[in-house]
Amino acid sequence: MKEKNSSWALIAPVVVLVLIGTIVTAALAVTNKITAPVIAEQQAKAAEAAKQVVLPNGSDFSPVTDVEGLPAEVISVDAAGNGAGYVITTETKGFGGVIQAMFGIDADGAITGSKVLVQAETEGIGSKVVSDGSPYQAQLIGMTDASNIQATSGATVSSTGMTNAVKAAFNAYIVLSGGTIEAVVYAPPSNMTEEALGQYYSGASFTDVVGGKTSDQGTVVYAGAQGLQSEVKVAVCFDSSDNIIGLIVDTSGETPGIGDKAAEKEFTDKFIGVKSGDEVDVISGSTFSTSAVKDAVNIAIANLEAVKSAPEADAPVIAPVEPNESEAPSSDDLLEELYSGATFIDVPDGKTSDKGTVVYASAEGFSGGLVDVTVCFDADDNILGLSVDASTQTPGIGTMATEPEYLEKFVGVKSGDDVDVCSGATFTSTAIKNAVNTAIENLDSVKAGNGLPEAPAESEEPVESVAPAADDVTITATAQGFGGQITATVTFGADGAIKGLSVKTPDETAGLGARCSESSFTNKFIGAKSASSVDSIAGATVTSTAVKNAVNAAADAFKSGKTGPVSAGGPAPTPAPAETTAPVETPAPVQSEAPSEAPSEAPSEAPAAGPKTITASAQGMGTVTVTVTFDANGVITALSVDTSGETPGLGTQCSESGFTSKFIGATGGSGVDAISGVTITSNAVKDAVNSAAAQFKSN
Amino acid sequence: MKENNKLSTLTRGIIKENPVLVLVLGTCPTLATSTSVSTAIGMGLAATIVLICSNIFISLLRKIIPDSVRIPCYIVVIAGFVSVVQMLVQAFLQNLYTALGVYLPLIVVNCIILGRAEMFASKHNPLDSALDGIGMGLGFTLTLTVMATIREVLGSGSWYGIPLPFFSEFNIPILTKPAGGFFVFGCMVALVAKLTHGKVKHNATGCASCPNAEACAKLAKEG
Repeated sequence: MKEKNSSWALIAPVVVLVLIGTIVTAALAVTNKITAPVIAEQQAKAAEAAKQVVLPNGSDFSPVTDVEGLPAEVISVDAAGNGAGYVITTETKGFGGVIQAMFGIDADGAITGSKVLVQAETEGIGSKVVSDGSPYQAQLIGMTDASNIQATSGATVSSTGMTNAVKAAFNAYIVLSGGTIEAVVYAPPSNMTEEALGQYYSGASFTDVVGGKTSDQGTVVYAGAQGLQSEVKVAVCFDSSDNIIGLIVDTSGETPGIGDKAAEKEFTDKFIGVKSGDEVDVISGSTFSTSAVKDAVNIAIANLEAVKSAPEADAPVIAPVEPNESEAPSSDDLLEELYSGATFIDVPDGKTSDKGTVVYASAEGFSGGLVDVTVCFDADDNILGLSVDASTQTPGIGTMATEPEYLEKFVGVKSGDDVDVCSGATFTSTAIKNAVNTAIENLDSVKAGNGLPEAPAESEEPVESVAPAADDVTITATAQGFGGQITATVTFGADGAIKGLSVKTPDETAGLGARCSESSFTNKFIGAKSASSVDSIAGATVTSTAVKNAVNAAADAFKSGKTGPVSAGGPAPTPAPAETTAPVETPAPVQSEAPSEAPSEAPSEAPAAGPKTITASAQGMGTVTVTVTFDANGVITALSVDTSGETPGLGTQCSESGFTSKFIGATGGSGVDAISGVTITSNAVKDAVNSAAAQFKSN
Repeated sequence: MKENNKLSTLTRGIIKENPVLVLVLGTCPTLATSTSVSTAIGMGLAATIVLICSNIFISLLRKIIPDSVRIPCYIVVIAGFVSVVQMLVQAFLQNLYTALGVYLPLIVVNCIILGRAEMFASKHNPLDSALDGIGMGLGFTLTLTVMATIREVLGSGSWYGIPLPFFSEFNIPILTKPAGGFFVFGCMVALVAKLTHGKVKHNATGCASCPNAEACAKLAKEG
């Protein structure tokens, strides 16, 4: 008995658990039997109801699976059994992720309704595009093609994603109703030059065909995909056995310094040998641009065979590089509104009229992009209004600061500081404030410029061949570009106007930053006294800004050289301002330049009294103040940094000796690397050190 | 006296031994579903049904289930009931099913149900267990509803989806977020502790209330 008990105790748990399991399973099976048909019926009804949301007259929907050639964005098509039309579901890329949307298109090809099924757009920005009943969605009803869609301001990326979805839906409709859609012909990237192609094909003779180039050495296929701000254009180079041997990427519409990474060789070379763009990882921080390159590579791989057999193209497909015309931010409408009927006279940096003065100014916004501001003053010098070109800033964020509601706050102020920054767009709105301050400062000089229209000097000759006159002074200045130091050699006439400029950009990206060394850019400086009026090259903002900074530094040096004890005509000692350092090469110097990094070899260096401590400050996240001690030669012997306005734990790292000690022994801040992750504050310290060094030298 | 006992079995779940606020069981579904009153009531009622059924069955099986496999048995029974409830709700109460979303299957691991199975149903007869299930379920539902009322009215400016004047203009969105949930939860625990000051038996929240108490004690003894 006892034995029986103990063996029962042993098997009881097993038996009971198995029994309970069996009973519960049986109960579930019975319930499932009862509910499954009900659930299936309800799901079908829900699916049909969902389709009727976009195609109210449709019923008896059935999926269409036997149609070839639908656009890649279309993930499913359902035809209404009663002939009311089609429900087309698409998947396109928005800002936060994929946008899955469903469109109803009736038998006449007009949209009857749309609904976004899946989206991850930014709440309050992109969500304005994808939410039911939004103006964006409402405008689609009744459309028969995608040509008149209005993007929602401030939500460009999401709008583009939705518009692509609508286009795909219309294309799908064309295919479904028996038509064919024209294949998208991609244009070549603007930076695809013979030289760039030469890297991959030596001596090949190419034939231009639709969508690419063919040769006996391989095929070049053009493709494009939506990046963050623009279409990223890619030329994919295949060898004769269809392996990828290289990529030429044009990211000129993407954020300088961020999207540019997608065009760098380091990234594009990862595609060599891949069979699909998906094999390459995106670059963190440049996700949109780099994934656009991946998408474009996939398109190119898909189109390779088509390009190989494509007909010859009618026109040469290497697009000429569009010279970037120098012009003021578009503000004609504003001018008409604020000064109706006034006649303006163009003067440097502005326009004057009897009804008031317009002053152009710019300041650095987010990620180094310049924000151009046109400030309109009335005849009594009060601000009437302003217009802002923030095209370098992040759409939807930086551009928030360009909304009329924000700009109106500047009306009547005496200083840009009277206006608070725009929350969420701090950098851009601070840039606007700074630019307004610059404009207020420059107002009088612009007014004084009345009657002196700017005449940009056209010079066909290379700058190097400008023969310096006796009074000419040539100054070489360097500044930090995108890839490294750029060097500008500026020749000033006796009146301070720039007579010649030669720029060396050894470390800049070929086809982008390197364009700043071309005469089409450098010639724009000729005749000006400073670089402020010259527009940056779109897509090469960082390098352009560097050139402009270097030219301004040279101009400052020129001016201080004039006020100092300089004997005209002779080799003039040039006290170097902040960014002026030793010349790398001076093509036609009329003077020996004082290399500030080797003071002992510079007998003409501005006399320095002896050790000196100078305090300077620069804009970091807040204001960064540095106290620099220089020895008699201008070499930094001590540096203390006040980062009390910076982010604790981040910006404050810049006041630690680990960072400040890097400056000891240098003559300026430019040679010191920024602390990774603390770039803004680091750069502020570097700027402040540079300005302290400039003060030291000018004393 | 006996009637009294039954009544107290039924009612103590509401305040005195409120599963959420006093026993601190089922915090996860509480925080997750108390963002709006409609989901809170749905979740509360669904959990109540499962709780009553599982309590009755576990009470019936309490003599059959061997100690060593009781936790797996409880889980199989509870999971079975949850699945049944889920299928029924999906079939016949489509809107509630959509609203409850992932929280419905999560009732399987709702510790109120496992906790009551272990603490009460395995030691009492089916009638008492059913009453306990009703009481605890009501306590859970009521707590959820009160929390959801606070969070929805102040957080979203509406009640049961009906927009309220004034509140919809001055809402506190953080209350609809998990952090706000914890805040309201903390306030309510404090309030109930104040109301039941000195009356709550502390052993109710001690080792005895923990489903693992026995295994734990055994381990402690053996170890």
